[in-house]
Amino acid sequence: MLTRWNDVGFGGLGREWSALDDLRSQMDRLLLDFERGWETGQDSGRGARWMAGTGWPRVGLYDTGPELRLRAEVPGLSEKDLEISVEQSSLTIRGQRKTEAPEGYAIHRQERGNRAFARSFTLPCRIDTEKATAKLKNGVLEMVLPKVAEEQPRQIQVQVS
Amino acid sequence: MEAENTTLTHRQSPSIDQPDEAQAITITPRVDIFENQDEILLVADFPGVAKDALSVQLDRSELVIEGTQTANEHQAQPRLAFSRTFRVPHTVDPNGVSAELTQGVLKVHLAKSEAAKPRRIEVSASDS
Repeated sequence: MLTRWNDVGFGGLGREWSALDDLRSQMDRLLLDFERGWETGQDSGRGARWMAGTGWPRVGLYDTGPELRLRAEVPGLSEKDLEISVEQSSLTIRGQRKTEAPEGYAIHRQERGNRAFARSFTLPCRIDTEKATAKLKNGVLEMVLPKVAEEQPRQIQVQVS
Repeated sequence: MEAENTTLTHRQSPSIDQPDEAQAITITPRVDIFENQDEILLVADFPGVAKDALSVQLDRSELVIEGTQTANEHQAQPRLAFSRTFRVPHTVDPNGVSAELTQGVLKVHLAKSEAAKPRRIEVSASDS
């Protein structure tokens, strides 16, 4: 009674096509990484941005001037599954998620996978670790890392003589 | 003929039609698909998508899941939109579909119609 699941467009073409299907997904992601990398050079209204490499979770790190912001897509992780340690100029995020089939269910397709990760970042400036905050919403981790006073951008007044 | 039209619509996505959706890059979300005697369970990663920007639609045998990430004022990266279409077996009851979103993970429960569930057939013995 098990009907094989197929994305529309690949329906009915058999098992070997699922490999192509996966390839398509990977190409999507590759393209996305490329697009995001490409974006780095543009739209710099809010200051510089760094691409934090590829892999899982997808992470973005930006400089808003007074603070650094980190955004990581961690679907399926709760705050208990994440461990963040921050030093003045480095940051490490560790996490683990389990995506096993619920008990009594047969598996048709498993793309999400169990993920255990540890990612470290060298920050481009020193931050005030006491004031760093992190929150998790809809599977996205958002961190605000205020810079130490000496690293804050300064406005320089032009004297008119 | 009415009975043939089993279109089920769960459209709860006003933000999907917003003009700034053009900035979003559409990708294929990763999914897990499980099945037991009562239902097919589809699990998909939708990080950063709020409930009101999510759409789950079943039209005859085609299931479409779509969602767009919430815009973030500090996020200079382009937003992502997720979209994927599946062909659903006819054993699924169009009225028995439900969906939940937690921690950026979408779960769609597709209940099987009564006729499609396995039945235990009692054997009656007449040679007592």
